[in-house]
Amino acid sequence: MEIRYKLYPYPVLSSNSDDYIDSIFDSAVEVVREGYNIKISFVSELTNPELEALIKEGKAAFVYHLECAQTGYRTAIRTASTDKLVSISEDKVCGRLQICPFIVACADIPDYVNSCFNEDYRGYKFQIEAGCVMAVGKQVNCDIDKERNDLVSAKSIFVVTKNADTTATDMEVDIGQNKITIKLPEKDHAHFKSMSKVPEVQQNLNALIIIPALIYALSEVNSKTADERYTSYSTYSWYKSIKKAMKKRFQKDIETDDLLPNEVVLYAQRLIKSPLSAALEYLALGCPTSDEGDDDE
Amino acid sequence: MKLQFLSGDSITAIKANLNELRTKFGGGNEWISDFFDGKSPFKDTKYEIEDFQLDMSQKDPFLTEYENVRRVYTRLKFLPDSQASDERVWAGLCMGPFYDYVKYRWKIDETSSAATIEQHFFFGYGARRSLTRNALSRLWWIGRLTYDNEREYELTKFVCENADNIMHILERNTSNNPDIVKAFISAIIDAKNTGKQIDTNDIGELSKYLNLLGGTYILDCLPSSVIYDKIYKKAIEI
Repeated sequence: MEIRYKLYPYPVLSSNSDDYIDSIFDSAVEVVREGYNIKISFVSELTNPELEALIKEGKAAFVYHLECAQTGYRTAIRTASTDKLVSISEDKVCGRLQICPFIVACADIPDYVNSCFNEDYRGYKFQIEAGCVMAVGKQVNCDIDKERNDLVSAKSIFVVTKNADTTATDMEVDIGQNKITIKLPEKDHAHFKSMSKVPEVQQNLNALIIIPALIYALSEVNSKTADERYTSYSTYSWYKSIKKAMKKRFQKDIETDDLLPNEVVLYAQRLIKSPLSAALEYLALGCPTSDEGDDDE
Repeated sequence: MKLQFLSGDSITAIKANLNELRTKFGGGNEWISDFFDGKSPFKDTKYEIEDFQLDMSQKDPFLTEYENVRRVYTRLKFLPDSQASDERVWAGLCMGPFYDYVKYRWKIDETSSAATIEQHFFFGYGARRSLTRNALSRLWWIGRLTYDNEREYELTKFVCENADNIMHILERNTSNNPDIVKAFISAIIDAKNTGKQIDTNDIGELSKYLNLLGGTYILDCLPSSVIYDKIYKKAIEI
């Protein structure tokens, strides 16, 4: 469920409308993992005497609507308390969990009036049925990642594969999947595979293949608005990993901050620990193997 | 047999090359191991399952839908929802033991587009919609959302009478709650049992009506009986 601004045939308390005056409904939601469960704590703030009274009488309740688009998990947690703690099995959710707070009528409320109605509604009475929304809070989205390994590892967000087009001569990069996909011509891919397990050439491979792909990905992200970044990329593992790494290491939020063109090149290198120096040094020294290094010592 | 899955990186590699690989889907699946240089991209899960086949006996493949929902859901009912929404599991079955079934059911041959292949062998849409478009996950999720402990596969049978029913009933946000889906289908079946003629267009209208109700009510907070009554009343009216 996505909370969207919409009009109801009766007043609804929401930060997006002025149906009520001098009234607040807001919720803080915190999600933490605990073993194989996901613990969610809800704390709601309500300032409106009539709605508070309806909740006390059991005629209305705080409802937190949880929905996971990927697994189809959908449930509504109902409580009369402003604080609520729930635990759900991680088997039920994967990816984005949408949490929408509401106040919902639990019984029919005939002739509903509220002293805080906007003056446009003064003098009117409304017939509220059980199940009707009476207040809408702010939606919270949480990304539940099942991967327990470190997602910030640069390597884990790339897939280097061969290009099935046998006429291809250049490297191609695709960011429209969960991982950044780098397609190499068949012969180049065979060379890449044979070298990918050799520790001495890792920095060269990173400089040649990974950095250009990362520059492309960061440039594409940078060319979008914050909303577009969220809608286009926020479910992809590569985006989440880069976002996390950029925030942790460089205090930059790639969802909201714009990078200068030269910063794109800079951060693409720094994200994978600037491999260029080591790569050039390796070439300058005539590509020594580790055996040769051991001999020197 | 061990239930196998296709690794995420293998899926990414195939999807990235679907335009070039699509003609290979005209034949058998031997090309998969060639593409991965002789290495199998399939991996074992911890689940041991009974070997089973899917029905491919009908000229119109849709006529096998109900039977195949039963076969898949009955055998794989143990999967938790989070694993049953994991592309790797279904791509593993589609590209492995049920490769021929996917081709049969969705009439895939060497002329099929990359998009058609992606949506039926893999996940080609957003997370939720992909579940009812991938050939195998579709069968499991129809079962998951319509199997009822008391009525067993009765609701499933009704949904599988027409492909439009599946779209109207199972591809809406409200279908994520089995209680809402079951109340909805039960009301339509019962209205039909009174002699009322209800075609797929009517079911489309009733689905829109349910959506409309979801705009005003939090349907998940309503007892199933209330949803049933509202849909039944509307079904009799239209």
